[in-house]
Parts: sequence; C-alpha cells; structure tokens
Amino acid sequence: MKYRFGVLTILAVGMAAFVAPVSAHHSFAAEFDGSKAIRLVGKLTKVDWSNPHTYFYLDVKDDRGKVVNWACEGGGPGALSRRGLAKGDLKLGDTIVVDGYRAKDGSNLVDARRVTLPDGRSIYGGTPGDGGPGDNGQ
Amino acid sequence: MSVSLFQFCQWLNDTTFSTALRESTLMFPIVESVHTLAITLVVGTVAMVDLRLLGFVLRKEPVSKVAGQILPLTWIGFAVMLISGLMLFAAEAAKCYHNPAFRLKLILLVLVGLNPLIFHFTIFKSVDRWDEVPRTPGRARLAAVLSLSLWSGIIVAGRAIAYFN
Amino acid sequence: MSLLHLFHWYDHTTLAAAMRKSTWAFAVVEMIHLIGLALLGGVVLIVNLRLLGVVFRGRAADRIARELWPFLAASVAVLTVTGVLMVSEETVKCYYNTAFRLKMLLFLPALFLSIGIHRRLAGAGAQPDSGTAAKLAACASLALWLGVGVAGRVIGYL
Repeated sequence: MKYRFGVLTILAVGMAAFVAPVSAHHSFAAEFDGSKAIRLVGKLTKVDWSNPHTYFYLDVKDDRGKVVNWACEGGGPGALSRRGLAKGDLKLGDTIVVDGYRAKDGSNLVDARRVTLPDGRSIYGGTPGDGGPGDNGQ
Repeated sequence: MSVSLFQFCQWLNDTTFSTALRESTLMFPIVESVHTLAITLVVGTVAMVDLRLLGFVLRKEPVSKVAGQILPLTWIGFAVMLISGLMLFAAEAAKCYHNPAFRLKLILLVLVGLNPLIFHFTIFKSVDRWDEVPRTPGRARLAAVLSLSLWSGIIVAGRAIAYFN
Repeated sequence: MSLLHLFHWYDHTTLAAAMRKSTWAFAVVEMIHLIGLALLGGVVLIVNLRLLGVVFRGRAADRIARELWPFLAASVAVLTVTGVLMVSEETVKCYYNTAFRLKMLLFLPALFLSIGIHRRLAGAGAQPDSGTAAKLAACASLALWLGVGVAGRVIGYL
C-alpha cells in the first residue's frame, strides 16, 4: 500500500536523523571511552543527587597546578544506596577519589566507577571482575 | 503578574513531591518502568485496531466490534501513561522545558489524539457500510498508518528525552 | 566453550566493536526494541485476554490465534536481534547482571508457552475449551512476559 511505505520510511529516516547528531549521551560505550581510565582526586564542589543519574563535581588540580572542575556521572540514587553510598555521605569540601572512564569528547566528564570517601570507605559501581577502573577483582 | 511557562516548570520541579521523586531510590525507577511497560497497553492495543483497519488481523470481526473490544484497554493504558508521565515530568520539569525531544513528544501526542478524533467524526460515521467489507476505505487505512507512525514517533521521542538531558 | 567464554567471544567481534564505536547505533537499536515490545505486548494481551474471556468472548479464537501468529513471530525476532545488539554495549557486565540473567531465564518459557497457546488455539476450532487449564495458561503467559519486561527494566538499575 502506497501510504504505508512512504510514511514508515519518513519515520525511519526521521528517527535516524533525530538521533544521529546527538552524541548518544546515555549509552556508556558511545559517550565514554572504555580504554581511557583515569583517577581524579579533588574537593567536592557540588552534588546533583537525582534520577536517572547522579552527578558530583570535583575541583581537581591538573599537572600545571591549575584547578579544573570535573563532572562525575554515577548511577541513580537507588543503585548507589544499594552499594552503600547515601546522599549524606558526600559533603561539600571533602576530598574524594574517583576512578572512572573519560568521556570520548575529551571534556571534563567521567563515568564514575569507584568512589573513595575521606574516611577510606569506597564504593564500586561496576561488577567485580569486569576489569573496570577501581576493580579489585572477584 | 504573569508567570512564564518556564517559571511554572521550575516551580513544579522544586516542589517537595517532585524533589522527593527525583531523589528517590525506588519510586523513580518504579514510575519510569511502569511508564515504559505500559507502552504495551496503549500502543500495543491501538496497533491491533490499526492492523484491523489495514486488513491484517481479526479480518472476520467487524471493525466496530474490534474497536469496541480493544479500545477500553487502550484507555486504561492511557490513564496509566498519563499519571506516570505527569509524575516523571514533575520530577524533571525544569530540564524537560528545554528538552527538544520532550517538546516533540508533546506535539506528537496532540497529533495522535487529533487523528482518531477526525477519524471518528468523518469516515467512522459511515462504518455500518464498511464494517465487514474485505477492504476498508482509504481514509480509514490512512488513519491507521498515521496512528502507527505517530505512536512509533512518540516512543522514539520519549526515549530520546534522556539523550538531550 | 563456557557461557562466559561465549560472552567474551561476542565482545571481541567486529559487530560488537562497531556497535560500541557508533554514536547513534545503540540508541536506534534500543528504540526499535521498544517498538517491538509494543507489538509483542499487543499480541500477547489480545490472545491471553481472549482465553480469559475478557475480549472477543464467543468469537472464533482459532482465527484470532492464527492471524496474530505472524506478528508474535515478527516482534520476537525484532526483540531478539535488537536485544543481542544491545548486549554488545557492555557484554561481560550483562553476563554478571542478575536482572539480565533473570530476563533470559524467563524469556524462553514465556516464548514456548506463547507458541504452545497459539498452536493449541489454532487447531482447537472456534470455541476452544476455555476451562481452568486454558485460563491458567493465559495467566501464566501474562505473568511470564511481564516478568521478562520488568527484568529488562531492572538491568539498567543494577
């Protein structure tokens, strides 16, 4: 039937065109580089404790001594609290260590895999044994 | 004093309810999952009616009977979608305001509502004459194709919201 | 070859690498997965609700089952292909993900039950015996597919 193919083709093309220019934020492999692990140590400046993803921001000194603000993307509040990290555990000004994967576009954004708090407690967001940054193995 | 749409969205975003939902450990995932799975109740059922109009399924059943049997399920699904959708919107109202995918989804929702309205008040009025014929009128089939396309577009736009956050 | 080896092997295929490299492939595949879900849901709801006597009561169940069968098959095919493609995103993580495992465990019984229901209805004539067994099968089918859907949602939250 004439209409059907036409309309469905438009839909398919529209769908691809709509999605293509967006650097697919929200699928791990498209946004983050699985081969670029990094460790950040810095002072916590902001916490965005919300669904579907939490974000926390660190002031990190780069090798030239300049302070740069980095964004760290974590799982949702549910996933984090199940792993033992509650909203109140992150206090602004604390020095936090984040192990994660860098964003592909080179921006100051990481997919946080392990977060280590000032009291030494650390929370791993990956699966033990998956070889991610901060993975202590099975 | 006029309140801009954005100010309303920001206000809604900051209410105790919205904030609690946005920061929740369990509620947000549950509401989001209900919203996604209810796609079956709304789009899945409507698709069956559309497929009947296109002559693919339930061919021996009168069109009016197919619509009468299935659309109540669709309405139930729509109620679930609306409630869960409003909750999700409230939780992220400020972000949604700027989100092009969300805006597109709303436009498509209006269109997908207009389509059956027009269908109902035009070609469907004469359904007695084509209720059981082997090939439904062109306008009925057009409405079915538009319905399937618009609902698919709504699913796509809905999923794309996360990509523009 | 163990299951874990299979997942590692898949992880290293060109296809999986291409999926991960692309900025848009995963998104498009996931959207198609959702559209497939809608279609599968429609078929499963209508067939099971007919068995339960909620819709099309007294109407020829064998015809309904036979006519909807191609759409069950097509939607399952689409969901399977898109599903496999999405696993390539973080293959080994999926292997260890409890919700993913549960979804895979429920998927085959759900599918086989649906196939069984369609075959029985198609051969049973217009008014199949809608006794307790048939109604239980319909409820089980709805429950299994709901389980598959819920497990699928939980994958992303673990």
